[in-house]
Amino acid sequence: MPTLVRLVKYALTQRALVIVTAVVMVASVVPRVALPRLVGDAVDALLTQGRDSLVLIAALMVAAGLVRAVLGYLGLYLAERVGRVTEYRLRNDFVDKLQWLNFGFFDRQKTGDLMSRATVDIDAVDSFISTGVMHGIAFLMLFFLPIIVMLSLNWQLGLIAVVGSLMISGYGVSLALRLFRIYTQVFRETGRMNTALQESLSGIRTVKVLGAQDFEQQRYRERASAVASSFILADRLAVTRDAVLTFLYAALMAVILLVGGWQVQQGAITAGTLATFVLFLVMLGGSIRGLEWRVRLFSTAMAAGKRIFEVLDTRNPLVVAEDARELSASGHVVFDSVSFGYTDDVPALHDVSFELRPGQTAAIVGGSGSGKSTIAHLLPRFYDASAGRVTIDGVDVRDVTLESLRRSVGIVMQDVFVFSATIRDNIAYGVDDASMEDVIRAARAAQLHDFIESLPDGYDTWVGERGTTLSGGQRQRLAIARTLLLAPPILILDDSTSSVDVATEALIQQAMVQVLRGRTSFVIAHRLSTVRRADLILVLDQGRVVEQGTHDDLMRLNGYYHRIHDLQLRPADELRGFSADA
Amino acid sequence: MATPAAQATRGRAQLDLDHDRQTRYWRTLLWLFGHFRPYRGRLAVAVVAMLAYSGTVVALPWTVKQAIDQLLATPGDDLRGFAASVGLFGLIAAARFVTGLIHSRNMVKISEWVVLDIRTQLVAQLQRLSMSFYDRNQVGQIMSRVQNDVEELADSLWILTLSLASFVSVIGIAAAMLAMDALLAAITLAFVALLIPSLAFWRRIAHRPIRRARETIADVTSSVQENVAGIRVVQSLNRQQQNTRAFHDVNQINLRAALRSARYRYGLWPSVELLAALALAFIILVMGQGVGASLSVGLLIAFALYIERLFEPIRELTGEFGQLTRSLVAADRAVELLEIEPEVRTAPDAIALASLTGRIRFEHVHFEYEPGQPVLRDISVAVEPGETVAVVGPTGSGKTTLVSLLLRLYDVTSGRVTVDGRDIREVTGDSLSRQIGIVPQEGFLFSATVRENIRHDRADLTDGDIVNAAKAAGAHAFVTRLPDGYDTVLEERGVNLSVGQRQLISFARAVARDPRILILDEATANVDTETEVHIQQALHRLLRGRTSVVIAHRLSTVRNADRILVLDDGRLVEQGTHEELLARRGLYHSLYGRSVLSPEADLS
Repeated sequence: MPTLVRLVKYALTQRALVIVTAVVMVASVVPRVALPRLVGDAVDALLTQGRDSLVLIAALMVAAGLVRAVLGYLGLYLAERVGRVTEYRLRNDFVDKLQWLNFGFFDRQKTGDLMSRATVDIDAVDSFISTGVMHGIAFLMLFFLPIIVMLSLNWQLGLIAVVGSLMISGYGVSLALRLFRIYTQVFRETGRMNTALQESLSGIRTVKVLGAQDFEQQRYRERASAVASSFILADRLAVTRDAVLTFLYAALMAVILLVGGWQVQQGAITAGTLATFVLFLVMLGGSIRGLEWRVRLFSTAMAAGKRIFEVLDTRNPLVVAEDARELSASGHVVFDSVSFGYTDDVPALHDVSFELRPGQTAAIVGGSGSGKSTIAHLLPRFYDASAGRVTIDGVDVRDVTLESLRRSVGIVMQDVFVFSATIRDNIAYGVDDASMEDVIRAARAAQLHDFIESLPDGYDTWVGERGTTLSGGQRQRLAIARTLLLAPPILILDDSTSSVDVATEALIQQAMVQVLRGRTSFVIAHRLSTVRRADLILVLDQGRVVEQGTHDDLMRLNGYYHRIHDLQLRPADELRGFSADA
Repeated sequence: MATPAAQATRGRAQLDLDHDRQTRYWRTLLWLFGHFRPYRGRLAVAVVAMLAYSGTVVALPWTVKQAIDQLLATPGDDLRGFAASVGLFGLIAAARFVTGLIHSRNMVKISEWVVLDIRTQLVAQLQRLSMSFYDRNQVGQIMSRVQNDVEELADSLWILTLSLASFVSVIGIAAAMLAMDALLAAITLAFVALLIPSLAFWRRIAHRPIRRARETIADVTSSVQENVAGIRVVQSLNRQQQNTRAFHDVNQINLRAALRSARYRYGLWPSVELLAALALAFIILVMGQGVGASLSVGLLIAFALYIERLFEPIRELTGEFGQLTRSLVAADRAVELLEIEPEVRTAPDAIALASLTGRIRFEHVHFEYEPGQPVLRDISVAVEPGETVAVVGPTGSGKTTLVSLLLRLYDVTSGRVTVDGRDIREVTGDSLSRQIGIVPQEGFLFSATVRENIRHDRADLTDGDIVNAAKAAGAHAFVTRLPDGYDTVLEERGVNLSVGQRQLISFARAVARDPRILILDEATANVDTETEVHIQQALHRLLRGRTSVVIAHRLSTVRNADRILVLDDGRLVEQGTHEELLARRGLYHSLYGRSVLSPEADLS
């Protein structure tokens, strides 16, 4: 079971702690096992009138209690520590891994799913390592140590107890394994139920406007009922198992009592020995009952571990060359027969070639899903081309360090993520030592300054999840400010002005004229007014560049571009006359 | 600059008031017990079985005592009395098996059903709550209430039943011990009683570290959340290294808090162990003195067994106590969620709206999301059946809010909104939303097939209806190009669809419902020009005979409207046709005049 081995290996990175914990765990069982022995001795002392030794026995009992208390506490704490440190390391590794995975990975994963791996699953591993593995050591000791003591006290009676115990335990383990499989299934169903709920809550606005609340509620109820039924089945098996094992132990106890009683009668053993046996059997019965809980932990942790390692093992297709060098771009961008597909079967870009000289602006136009954003995403290597190459200043983007590449290429993406932080920190997100003046300058250029100043806390206003909600247009301007602060030689604006109104867009465009000057830039826009002033227009259709050139070139071509251009501009042409009149 | 991750703490402290709320234990318990009512018959069976079970638990050590005493009292080879006692032991063990099984099997069912009821109750409440609730609380937080809190609760219901059985057993054992030997019983119980002050002391000192650990884990979670949800920004801005470091810090703080909490959490454990040993040692000493106690080996064994039984549940309970507190807190949070009254409520005498002609009126509508910050001020406007009205205005002028009020996602602060002359607060939500279709700004798609996304709750829509709707919305062409056509499964943030395509599917969804009133909220903002032209043509057909409200930025969309409403800072400042508004040379002119003229400016 490789997941188990790997989880244990994770715990073992803190070898000394694990060893100390194991030793303490084993040691803490000894005084516990000593107690039935001491009761047995007391019985014999009482029967033989050897009352002087009773004081010693009582003292030993208290001593055992003390040792047990100290070691038990220490064991509990240390076991938890092993688990927590494992959890800590796993979580660090998990988040580290996420930082470096490419966009393709995040396209495939759901946020909620990754979140539950990073939280619930890693917690499950923690519980398993501390309660399952570390306490498991004590649990095993609690089973085998009494057996050894019983055999040493009287081998005949001991043998009955041992064989009986082993048989019952064997049966218990086989049932536990069955439970393991059932619980794995139940947890999977629970996960599905929660994912569905998460989704219906994320889309609550849509659910509400569709008036589909009852539908969603009904759907959830069905899923939850299925989960409840599965849990009932699984739990019923668990409690039945528990009752059967307890009963079997009671039956074993009856046998021991009968045989032991007969032996006492024969003088083969003392009454004290019989008492010790009785108490040991109670202890064994108790310990086997803890098995079920551990199986549950184990099954949860194995499933969780698998899901965690799935992420940790994801090979990042983004390989940075060993001898990668620093890029200090002037901004000469070339796409050389670039092809790319998000999945193997559906090509998103096909044989795209173009060249953009430093300081030039390229506009990318085309229908929905024609590959506009994809071109933008290949340049900062959010994905790698599957054929052909992308070069900046003649250097393949795969031959430079990611850091220097992304410092050189600024991108304003379609959907903008706002962090739970102040507006100022959100703008300065990519720059460590941005001064307040820089931040304000960027906000001004992005036409966001006036809005920020209108807020009660200005630049210190908390935004994001638990702060002021920004509108789509405001978020986009925030992203623009963020990128402007980086002052990259190459700039990509992906759909950046589509969801701001005309007035705001006009303002942004004014700023952009300043911003784009001297930078190589890519603008993905639907408005032809933005497109017209580009040095190069790439017209995409289903992943292919069907036309490229300047506005005038393309108009002369009288093709696709000409058509969409006409559609967009007609109202303006009509209006020109109107305005002239006015 | 502090990283957002580290500052998340501040954000939470500002807005999440939960941490300092006093848990209302009794009321929460009552609420919890209320959920058992429907199952009281079964519960009664379980309780009776539990009482019988506890009886057998108490009786077993007594039979052991009887057996041993008989064994030692009868000289010679006569083991009949002894064997009879062992036989009784076996019988009682069998009774314990049966009663235990009846108890636990019933309790398994009851507790799962209760959990199911609570879950569905919570989700029903979530569906009922208004948008304002979702504006204030983020989905992750809400999810954790339904998911984690209910699971905590389920765990504790289980523990509660077990502890109840243990508690009854403890009482039974105390009684049995007192019956057997009053002095020895008194000694044992005195040691048990000593646990109570230590329990109180422990609760006081352990409380704070435990809470602190809970708070730091919340920071870890929100930091992970930002790293996952914001990863694209993180990577494009090269923040990986800083983020990694920041996360390690948050994680480390949590580790320290967790370890500290562990040191306190197990604090009670040693005293239980020690007191059990002390009790047993005292009994032996007292027995040795022969003071008052009948000297019986069987009694000693029985007491040893009883003490194990007595302290074991207490030891377990101290382990579970944290869990119990946690789940009461969880239950309390659930109650809190259930107690929230949705701001938008359906009146008890609400009527179902008959088929609309589609007249909409806003009468002196004021609205504010936050008190004192008006978003809409004194809006009065009437839209006639079949009319197409465009709403324009700068960002933040209140366009989306206006349509949200029509959809009754929020209730007006003052004034009223009517459809066909009826205040929308007087009609059922269902009948209203069935007749108003909307293509929202950001179309949400569910993880389901294209077909299921368009159909959603409307099981009555045939596949033909769906294809027709998709065609009308201009989505059919690309849908058929998808690998599985209408059966293609869409992902949360799918690689398979562009933003524009997702919007077309939401559009198809609205069209399929054939609403009397159609709202397009910047519906075509993310669609490219060519697709938009298709949509425009389709729209022309679709809007005919329907009342429609269109929020749009594009001149071409706005121009086609029968009337244009211009909003500025929550006020309706101008209305009229395109030509009228341009002639007025007001806000509309400054918005659209420039846009229209800018290409010319470029050319010069």
